[in-house]
Amino acid sequence: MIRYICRRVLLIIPVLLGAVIIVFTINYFSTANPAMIKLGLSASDPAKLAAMEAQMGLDQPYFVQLGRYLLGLLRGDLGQSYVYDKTVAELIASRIPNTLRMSIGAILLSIIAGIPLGLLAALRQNTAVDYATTTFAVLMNAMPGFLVAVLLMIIFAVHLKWFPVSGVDSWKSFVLPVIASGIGPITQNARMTRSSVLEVIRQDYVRTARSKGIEENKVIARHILKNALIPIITLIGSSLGTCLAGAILVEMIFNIPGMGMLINSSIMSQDYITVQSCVLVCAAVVTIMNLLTDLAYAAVDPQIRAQYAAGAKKRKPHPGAAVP
Amino acid sequence: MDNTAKNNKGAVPAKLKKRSNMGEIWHRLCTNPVAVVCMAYLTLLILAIVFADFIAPYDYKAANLKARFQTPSLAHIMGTDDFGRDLFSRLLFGGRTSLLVAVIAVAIGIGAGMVVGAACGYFGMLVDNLLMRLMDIIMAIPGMLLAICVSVSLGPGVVNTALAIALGTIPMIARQLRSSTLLIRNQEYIEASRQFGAGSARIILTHVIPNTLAPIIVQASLYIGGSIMAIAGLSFLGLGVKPPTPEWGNILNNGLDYIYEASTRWHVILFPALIIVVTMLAFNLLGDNLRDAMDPRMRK
Amino acid sequence: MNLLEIKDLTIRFDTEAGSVHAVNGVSLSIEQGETLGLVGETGAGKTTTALGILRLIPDPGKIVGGSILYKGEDILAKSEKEVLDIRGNEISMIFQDPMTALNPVMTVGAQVLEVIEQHERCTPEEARRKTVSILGKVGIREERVDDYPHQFSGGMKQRVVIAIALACNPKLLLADEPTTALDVTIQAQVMHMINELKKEFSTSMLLITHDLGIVAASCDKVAIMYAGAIVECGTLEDIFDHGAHPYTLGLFGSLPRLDVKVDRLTPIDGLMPDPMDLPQGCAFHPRCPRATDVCRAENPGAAELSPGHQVRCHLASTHPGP
Repeated sequence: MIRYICRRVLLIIPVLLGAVIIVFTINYFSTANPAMIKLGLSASDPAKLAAMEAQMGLDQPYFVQLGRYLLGLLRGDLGQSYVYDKTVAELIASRIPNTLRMSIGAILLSIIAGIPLGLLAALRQNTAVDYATTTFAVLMNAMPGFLVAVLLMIIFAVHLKWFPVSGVDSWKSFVLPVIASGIGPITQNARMTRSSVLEVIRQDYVRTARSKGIEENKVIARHILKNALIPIITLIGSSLGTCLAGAILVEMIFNIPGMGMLINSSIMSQDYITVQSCVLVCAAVVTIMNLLTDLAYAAVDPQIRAQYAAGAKKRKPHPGAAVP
Repeated sequence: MDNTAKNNKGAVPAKLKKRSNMGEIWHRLCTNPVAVVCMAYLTLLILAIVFADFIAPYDYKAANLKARFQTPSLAHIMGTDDFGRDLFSRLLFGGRTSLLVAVIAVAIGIGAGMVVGAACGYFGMLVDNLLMRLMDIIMAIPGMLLAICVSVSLGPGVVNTALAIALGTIPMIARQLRSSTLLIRNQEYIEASRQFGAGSARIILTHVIPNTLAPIIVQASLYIGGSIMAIAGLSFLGLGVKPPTPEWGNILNNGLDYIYEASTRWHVILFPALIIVVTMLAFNLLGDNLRDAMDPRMRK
Repeated sequence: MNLLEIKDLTIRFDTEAGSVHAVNGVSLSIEQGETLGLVGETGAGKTTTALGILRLIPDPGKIVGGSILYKGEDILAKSEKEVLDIRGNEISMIFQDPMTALNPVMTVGAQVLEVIEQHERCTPEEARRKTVSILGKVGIREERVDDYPHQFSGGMKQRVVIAIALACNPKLLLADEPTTALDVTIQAQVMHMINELKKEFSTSMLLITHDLGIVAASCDKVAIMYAGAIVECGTLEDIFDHGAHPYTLGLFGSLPRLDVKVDRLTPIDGLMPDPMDLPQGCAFHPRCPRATDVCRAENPGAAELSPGHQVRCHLASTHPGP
């Protein structure tokens, strides 16, 4: 098991490195000239511009620039903002707590709302509850998160005045944003749980469990849910990306100073180095989360645990795993 | 017990029969009310967008500051926006942009994905390993953030926005095509055609791609829905296709500036939002139903 | 008094495509300590009958008629809670496929422990001790109690399934083809073990199988099932030596024999009828070599050839078996 954990941790290094290179390269081919942005109006002077370009190292070849950037990253240096007199790391550090709060809230919500909903729909298959859940899921799947945010805001903040319209004054400020950025993952979890439970419910071992004379709620908790949740763990891991991306748009509606607002204002002020770094930080968070998911997966499913303990490489699909 | 035995009978030859079953799939789609409604809506939408020049009652660019924020009436069936422009006309032309970007994005995504996937299957080993790791890395970056990054770098515009959105879909298509290639490569008829001297390239072109096309078409429907959402998201961030070129996302975004006056100016939010949601719903449901119609397990 | 007496049990699956008549008026009885073999082709409704006894028919199946008297009380009339006390405790079931019958994310010990905790009042230590002891009886050593099912072979898994079934000393064991999924060498071992344990606990058993060899070795009585109905039942001797129903005779005709030299086995022509569309009259008539017009028109009632030997065939009384 420890060997497995070590291997998985080591494996994310090339992924992170790759992500940095890709994002850096995309930015390298940008049509915008950072030196020009940094100088603002005085960029019209070619001498000043050339001096700034040299100072920022823009006159160096691609690989030198990339190397410098990577070396900087190793020291935790994400670069200097083009616009503010601050390092990008400072900017992000001041904004990331709000975004993480929202994303983690959204993930928790997607678990405590999505899984029971899907379970209920599966256990009451082809009843009104099932149809309502499925319809809700299909509908919400077609709604961009920021639109849900707008709807929630108009109804609960502007009209009913239950929650503040914007800002981060108290926990109340986070209620609507968390719901809005969690709505996608909630419906995904509900759909996945439903199909996974329906798959597991047909398995022979559930019949064995029933033949033991144990109560239905024990059959559900011990035998159905425990197996059905295995594929859902993967989904929860990958939903962090969705939550983060959703949170970025939702923040702007509720005026929450997080990564989303930072990305947006950086786009507006052409502070592209900050945009690039935000994307990288999010990618890193998602990658680490996926790693944790994989480890959780191994902890829950004894078959996978055993395979890794034995040093086997291949992951066998779990019998309860369903295709969404 | 009795039931499962019966259902299993029809399940075996799905992969190979797929093409000859096109007629049957189409038939099943036509008898499914949800799919029919989706197809009817999308056909109508596409016709309206293609013939927008003839249908649009007003010039979508013509501002009329005397007629700002008019609620829907006979003259302006969806009302007017903050410049007094006819919202219905703008949405028609905006749909042209939105769908165009979405279609280009999906075409790029599928095209590049197929090339990568086929290359993995064709060259094998080293190339396969390198390309697949690259795909893994791209997938590690959330799609929306990647699109933001590319869009920032390339600047606004139809093709650039399409590229930004397409990049995230390439790995998924590539993976699918690669696994199909590996699956098909080991089948006996491939063995047979190899015996007759067919090379890998020929096998990929004549066997692999035709066999994977059908599921990829299904994916395309789902990806178009997703792309429309992504375009709207980019517009919302001030990226993507910029005004004055009308596009559903920027029309909606423009409307959202008036969110606090929603009680009197609701139409500038409602109609763009509605058309985005309904169109996405149509593409998603059509994709879902197409997949079900193609699923051999659903056959009786 | 019979331990179990099933009368006219009828089970139907109402699907969108139509009604599946899985079990049509099955009657059978089992005495204390007795083993009844339920024999028939796949799809004859044997498993459904057994699941019916435990009221575990999967959706959309329903028991639409008949009664199941266990110790003189109708199981079908009991509340869900009363049935829970019977399942796994008084009546338990061994399932056909050991590969899928165990929960992959629970240790085998926990799966046995679960039944004991449910039905017996005892401390956790006692339950654990009982678990180890019953697993020991089926030949699973103590150090393997906390292993997961995927760490066991098929035969070992079936031993666990048997341990689960026997954990609470049931009065009646429903064994659904307990050896079909196992290797031939393991089959004999497992069957031997079941018989030994059955003797030890003086349990009655309903043994579902299509293996006539196992029937001959383990059963006291035999019931032959075809298309959801018992076509013939009687003692082992009645069926094996004086079989009267053409289907019974057909089953034996398709068996290789050591004592008689035959050039060719004679299989029964045709297939089981679709339970969604049973033929008029006797369900067996389309495959019966001796079918007459009466067979095509009327479903035969049960006729008693000798005490306890019943047959449902128009021809049985006029053309007794060889």
